[in-house]
Amino acid sequence: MLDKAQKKSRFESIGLYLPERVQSTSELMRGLACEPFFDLEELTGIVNRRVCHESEDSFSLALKAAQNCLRESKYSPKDLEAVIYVSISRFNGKLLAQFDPAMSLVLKRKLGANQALNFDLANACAGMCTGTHVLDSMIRAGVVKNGMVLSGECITPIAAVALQEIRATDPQQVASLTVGDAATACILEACPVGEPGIEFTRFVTAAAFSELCLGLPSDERGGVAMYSDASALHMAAIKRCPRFLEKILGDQGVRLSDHDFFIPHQTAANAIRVGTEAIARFLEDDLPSVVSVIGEYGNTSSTSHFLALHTAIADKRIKQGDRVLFLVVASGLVIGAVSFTVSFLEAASANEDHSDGSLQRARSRRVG
Amino acid sequence: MRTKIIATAVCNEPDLDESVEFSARAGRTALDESALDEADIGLLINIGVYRDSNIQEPALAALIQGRIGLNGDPLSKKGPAFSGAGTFSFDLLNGACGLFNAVQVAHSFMETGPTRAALVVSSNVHPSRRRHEGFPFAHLGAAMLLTDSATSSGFHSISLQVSQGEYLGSRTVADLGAGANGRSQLDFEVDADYGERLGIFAARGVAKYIMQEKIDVKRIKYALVDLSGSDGAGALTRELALSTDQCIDVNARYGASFTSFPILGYHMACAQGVASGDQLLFVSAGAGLTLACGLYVV
Repeated sequence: MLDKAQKKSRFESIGLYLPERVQSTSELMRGLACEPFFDLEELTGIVNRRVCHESEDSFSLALKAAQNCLRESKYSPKDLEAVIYVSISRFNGKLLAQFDPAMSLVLKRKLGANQALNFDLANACAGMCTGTHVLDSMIRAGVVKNGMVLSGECITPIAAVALQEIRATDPQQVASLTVGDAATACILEACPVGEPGIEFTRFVTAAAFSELCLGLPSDERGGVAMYSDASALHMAAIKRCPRFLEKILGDQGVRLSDHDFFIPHQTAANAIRVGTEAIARFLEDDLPSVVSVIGEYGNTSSTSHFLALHTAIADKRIKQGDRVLFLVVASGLVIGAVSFTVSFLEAASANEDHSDGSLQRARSRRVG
Repeated sequence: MRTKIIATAVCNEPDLDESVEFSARAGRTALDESALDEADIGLLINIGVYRDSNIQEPALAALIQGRIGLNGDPLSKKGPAFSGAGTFSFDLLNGACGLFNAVQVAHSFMETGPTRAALVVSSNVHPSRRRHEGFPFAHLGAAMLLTDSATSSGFHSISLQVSQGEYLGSRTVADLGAGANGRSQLDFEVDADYGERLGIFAARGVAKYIMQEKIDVKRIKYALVDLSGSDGAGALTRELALSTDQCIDVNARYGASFTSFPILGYHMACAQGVASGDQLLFVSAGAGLTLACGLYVV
């Protein structure tokens, strides 16, 4: 009998939904109430981001990503054994945050996944990867045979507040201007013995740094806001991530360069470049091809790794057989990694071009 | 392997009004009362639903872990290397049934990875961090420490059920766009027939569970039954032919405790006296409608 530690799960399908509206950084910055004291595009490399329509919310975004994911999956909703909702935002009606019952309950009903067990997870920008880690464990332990993780991240309301509240003397909301809206979903299933899938997942919370980034309603003028000491958070992460990867890659007997693609959390172009190069330098290893979609989509919080993965598959950069490493860094301070082989995803064929040439909707499908 | 409870703790100090602090104190007490090394705690799951100041990130679990001082920095104190010890924290929300999902997740982590023990914490405080007339739950914190057991002691089965159709019965929301008091917003929308329908749904679901698991109700030492937001638990226990000696009235002792109920129930059962082999029946139901049943053998 196969040891449960040796059992694997794999991604069966991934789905994406992006709101139609594209907002450029220059358009966003025209709304800054104070005199600009920084060049956001130069600072972050972010040119555009997607922004929800006022009729959209976390629920509707997540639903569309889930439907796109299911459309190309062999599973029908009634086959799903788990539905896990993982967004930071939990808006079910404009800025109406729903706490009870769980968002996953109303989403699974809407999807028709009535037999699935459901719960929500909250873990800041680590949401989709935390959900993957949890569901992977549950599949390997035999609690369920498959399931869906989904996030509808309607996060740009924090940018609207930041535009009004940022001051040169109080820059702790500057990072709020980097965010973009997106929704992603993935289906995991038990992996047949001997086939490649999710090779390992490891996470840790360095809670000594848990108060460096706080998202909560503004008490100045309403709406939701995020207050971060971005510099301290970056320093704490950049000191720990290389050592974390050294430890977990060593435990697994693999090297960074055994991966074809490296997808870090998408925060800012410079942070991605500096952070990944520092990791390769520390590990004395070659850096795999780094996937960055920050320029076009900004920081889409809990969905960022899956948005980057989906985009690279749709662009035919990532192909079957490629090994991918997600590096997760999130408020908490959460540090994690998901290493997997793309064994059955094929480039999305359902991209819809808009008049501006942007990718509105794309999905990946199982082919084998 | 079964998932076994090795310690529980409660914090209901009257001068506190912060869920993070309630959970941290209960969590610290549970850790201190166990023989476990902190390095063994690979997982911390917060199942409390309401959030101090309606905070959206980070996970409250991370703040609680930080407040406890539990493996706060995985960099080794002895050198620059990353230590093997570390705790992974996140929030898990599923209303009244959250504990049972947390047990499933903790079991999965302990079964398949390096996690040797999991700390589950729960607290529900009004986001304003003040006692609030419209807030139905007692301000307190609870903690439960779980580990794997190769013996017959532990959870033998867990069943989660959700009603069909669109009916939620009760919904709790916070309008975060409603002005500058978003940090203290919380509204309970409760249908007039919620209690009645929850009682009917739970009675059918528990009866089905008892039949499927071939549970002899007479052999149950204690039943820990909560219909959250409803006063129908008494009627349900009578319908299940449970005697008053078998029932522990957690709400009479602590007040309505929502996600904390099963932890408090187990805590009270241990205080009243349990012996190896005793069977405990957990039943928690709430908005959705949702129902969790669990059979636990001491």
